[in-house]
Amino acid sequence: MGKIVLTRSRRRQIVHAFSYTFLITVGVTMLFPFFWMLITSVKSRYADPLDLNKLLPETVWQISANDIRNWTEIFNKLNRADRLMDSSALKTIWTAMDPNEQRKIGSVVTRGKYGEEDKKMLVTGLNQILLNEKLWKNEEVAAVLRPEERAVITNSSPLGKENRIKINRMIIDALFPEEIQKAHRYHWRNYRTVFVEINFYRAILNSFFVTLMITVGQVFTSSLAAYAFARLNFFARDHIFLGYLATLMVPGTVTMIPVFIILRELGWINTYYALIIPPLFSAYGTFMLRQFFLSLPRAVEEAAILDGCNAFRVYWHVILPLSKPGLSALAILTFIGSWRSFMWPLIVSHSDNMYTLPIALSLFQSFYEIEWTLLMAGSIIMIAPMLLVFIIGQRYFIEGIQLGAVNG
Amino acid sequence: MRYLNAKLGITLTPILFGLALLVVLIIGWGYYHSKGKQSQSEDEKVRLVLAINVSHRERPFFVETVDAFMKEHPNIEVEIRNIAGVRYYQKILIMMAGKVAPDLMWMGQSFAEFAYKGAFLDITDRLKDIPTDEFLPQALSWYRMNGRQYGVPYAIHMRIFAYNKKLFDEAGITYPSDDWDFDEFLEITKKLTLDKDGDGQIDQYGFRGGLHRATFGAEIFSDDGQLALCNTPEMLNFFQTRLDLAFKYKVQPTMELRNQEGRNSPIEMYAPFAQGRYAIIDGGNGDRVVMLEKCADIDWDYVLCPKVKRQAQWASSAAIVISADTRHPDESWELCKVFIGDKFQKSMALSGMPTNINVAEEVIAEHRGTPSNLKAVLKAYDFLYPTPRVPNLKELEAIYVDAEEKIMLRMATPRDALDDAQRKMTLAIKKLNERNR
Amino acid sequence: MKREQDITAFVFLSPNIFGFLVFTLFPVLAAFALSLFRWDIFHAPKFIGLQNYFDLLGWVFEDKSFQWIDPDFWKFLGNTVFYLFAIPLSMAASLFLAIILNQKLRCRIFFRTVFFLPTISASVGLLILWKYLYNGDYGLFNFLLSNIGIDGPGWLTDYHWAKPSIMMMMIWGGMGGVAMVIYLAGLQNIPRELYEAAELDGANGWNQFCHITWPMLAPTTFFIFVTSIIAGFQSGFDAAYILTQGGPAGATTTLDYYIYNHAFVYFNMGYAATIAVVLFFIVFCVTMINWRFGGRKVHYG
Repeated sequence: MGKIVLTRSRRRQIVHAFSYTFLITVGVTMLFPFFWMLITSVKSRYADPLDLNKLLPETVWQISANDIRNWTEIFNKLNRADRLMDSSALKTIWTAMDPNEQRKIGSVVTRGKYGEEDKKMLVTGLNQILLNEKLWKNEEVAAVLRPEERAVITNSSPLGKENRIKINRMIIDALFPEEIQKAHRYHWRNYRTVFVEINFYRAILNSFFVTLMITVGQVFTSSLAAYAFARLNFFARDHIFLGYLATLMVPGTVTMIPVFIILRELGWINTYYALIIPPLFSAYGTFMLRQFFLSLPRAVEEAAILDGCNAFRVYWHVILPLSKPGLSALAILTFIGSWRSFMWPLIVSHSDNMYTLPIALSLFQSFYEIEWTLLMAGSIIMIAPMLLVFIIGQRYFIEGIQLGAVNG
Repeated sequence: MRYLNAKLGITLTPILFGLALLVVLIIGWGYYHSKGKQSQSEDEKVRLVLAINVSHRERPFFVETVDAFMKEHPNIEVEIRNIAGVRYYQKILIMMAGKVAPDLMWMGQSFAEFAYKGAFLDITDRLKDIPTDEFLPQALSWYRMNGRQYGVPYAIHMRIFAYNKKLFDEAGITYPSDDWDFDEFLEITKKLTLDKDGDGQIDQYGFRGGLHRATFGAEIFSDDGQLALCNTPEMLNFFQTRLDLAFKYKVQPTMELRNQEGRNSPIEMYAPFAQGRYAIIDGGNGDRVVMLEKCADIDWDYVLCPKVKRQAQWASSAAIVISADTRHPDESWELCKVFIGDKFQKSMALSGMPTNINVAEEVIAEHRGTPSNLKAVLKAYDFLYPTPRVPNLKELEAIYVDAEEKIMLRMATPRDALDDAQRKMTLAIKKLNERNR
Repeated sequence: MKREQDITAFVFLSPNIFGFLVFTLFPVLAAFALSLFRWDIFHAPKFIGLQNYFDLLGWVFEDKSFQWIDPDFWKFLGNTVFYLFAIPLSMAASLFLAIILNQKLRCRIFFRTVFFLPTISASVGLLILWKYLYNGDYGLFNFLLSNIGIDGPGWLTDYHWAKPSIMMMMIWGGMGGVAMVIYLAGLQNIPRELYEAAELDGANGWNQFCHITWPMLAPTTFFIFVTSIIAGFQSGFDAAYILTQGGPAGATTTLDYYIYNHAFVYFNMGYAATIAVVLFFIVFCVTMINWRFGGRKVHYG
């Protein structure tokens, strides 16, 4: 009756096509922010952030005052060029400046002292050089360029304004390798700045150390307790366990203040103890592992006990090896949780050598306010180790979480 | 033990031993960490912790100064903790609460809040080491409480207007002078508010920022912080004027618009200012270094805030003070003196005016270029209006800011919001007094 | 025999129970005690009985109108509850993704990994990224919107947009995360035969979902829901701290952030403990209600 009858395989094809489209759309939504982050983090810090016309970073050929790392050295070099004492490449670019500008800068270099106004003048002078039309025709100037850079000249004659600026910028970059920031399309400079400005090495180290200690400690103490709850029969077991369960509902903020006071009285604030020990004892871990241990067959255990093993041996040699999946599930959950934990370290870590990554990054954020390129570089440094761990141990992560949920 | 082991059929000994060891190690190390460190450092180097709140532009000056100091005093080691941003005071308070306060700390607006908690070392007797008569007397008094001196500021930050000269030239208006009044201000901003492309939306606002309540003679609370003054006629007048500027004369973007643009930190204002979106902004002389960077392409200048009822400049200051808990008061004072000294004050002049009047005059005499009216800052020394010095400033200010937001977003009339703020503030003051008792 | 087990059990429990007592049980009791005091940590605490509770939950009649003594608390409780609405949305998205990923598709591992990325990297780093994306001037969203001629709002600075913006971020980060992975596990546990039988009966996809998938997943859904609600009441601290500082006008302040502020900004330790205790009771009650009604449904439904 005009009704289209779809075969089963045909229907499946349509469903699959729809599924793929959907997955790809969601996947792009998930990945694009990360991609954007990466792109921003390799942009020049001084590129105009409002200029969003191109997604990819553009090389900034113009020289701005911020590109200059060492004013004194530049003035010194120009001073030498002025007195004909250095290579004539420098001398040539010196003479390429507008005579008026030259005179002004000349007065600065002889004075040996410079102020804001003089700096501005120098930048103007340097940008004049960029517009010069015959700079590279000078043999000595061309000699400072690398062969592939010189190829740009020969391949593009006659030189348009754009290429002219590009070549001149290369010359300036070659003549002032240390003093002026190079013009590059991509660069890892932001990452270097991040590491120099903030003690990120130490923060990464701290984060790894604290996270590992918490993970190992939590798995150990939780598994011990879970074994007792699952297998041993002791006084008031179920009551104690109920007490554990009830605390699963206690918000972290309830215990936050008293624990802070306890640590203060111990003199532990701003030490590793404060970062590691309070999160070490987890009711959730105990609960989860107890459920897991309960699901293990008792036969092997009983055989071991008959062989004369004591409880600790049973725990160590029978239970632990059998429950590797459960342990790794807890380990992974703990690892993720403490890697990103923010509120607690915020309260107890107070110096460069105690900051964990989230804290260092949050301070870094207020330090740089709106320098997004640097902030993105910092964020990537925070996210990257976790991503690396995840991509390597992807299967364990997923299975661990599934296991934790099914048992919990 | 052996009896137990035999009875239980398990070897308890290693487990118990291991546990005991664990407990001993944890407690022992913790104890060593907290107490042992003191005795250790006393016979070796003196370790000082200096907490500062500066951006990446000023930090190098501190690092340089501290490095030079350490070279001069090989027995002292200084650790700099830079906590930039609005959360600085919170972090310091948490450190103090956790008994890990730094030996020296940067202090600004929140001085009173800390001094009230007894946080600072009294330096009244040490003041003879420095030429106090060269300092601006008010600036010194800002760090005094109950007749005792707790710090000497190295820089004064004030709210000061910055204007874009090009926009004035285009509109054919003469540049404002430092003694202008509100009517002149309104005239000028009206003329400078333009819809350039004729699409009905204003592209260039005359003014971006806020007038200060002190110029209206309004205050949030009395000087001693005991009396809330939120709903005085002056305050109402102040808010009505601000509403008029935004909604009646439309010379200033409304708060909705400002929120929509999403620029909530003043530092984000400079880029649009440089693009000519605002003719006058209320910048701060503390941001001079930022403005030189962000507004390098335009010619701009300072002008004092216009006089409404009286001339007043909101001001705060920055000082390095010594913690009351420091174990090395003498060494700390040595370092503190460096930060009060001429050399440091001068090096920080780009982000704050020196409190030592001689140094300030020297800086202004040597200054060339933008902003040409830098001396306005010195002129303003005569009518500085500092942040009120009450112990629970943060809490009281939060109430005021909340009311301000409600009024400027037109969620409440000035009358209602200010009455509400008055009620809340009175309650907060009462509570604070109870807490003190 | 019994006593021996007691001792062995004590040995096994001791490390955990020691920590449990010192860092959980005692602090919980201490928080209850602290809520009866007024204390700013720097001076001696002062016992004030239930005054903190009156200040927090009480009301007054002033000018014949009803007023909460601490209206902020109710506002921020409202914010917290508002964020909770992200949970069902996020769960629905997770379930949908899980069902799609449960087919025999190529690259499903790849997609699963991609969807999981935000969960793995969720932290301060990611929040800073979102702050950038939402930025009014330099943000990606407003840039994309401006390309199609829309003047985007100040996502995080506009009173009405701030909460939905943060919710959107939560859903983005949450939909491919733990919930989806748990759903996947749940789906894989549903016997294939059920679907085959249904297909023979001529049931279409929607019918299969309603009559097989959804009931079979009910325990999973319930588990995710309960844990998410518990976590949801404690959410929003990181976002408020990094992105908005609780603003604009308190629009994004949650109870967690409010407690932190009272504890470690204003140093009203007693009052902070009071709010925390009240929050605890709210979570407790909501969870009990969940178990009472949800639990029964799962078992008998």
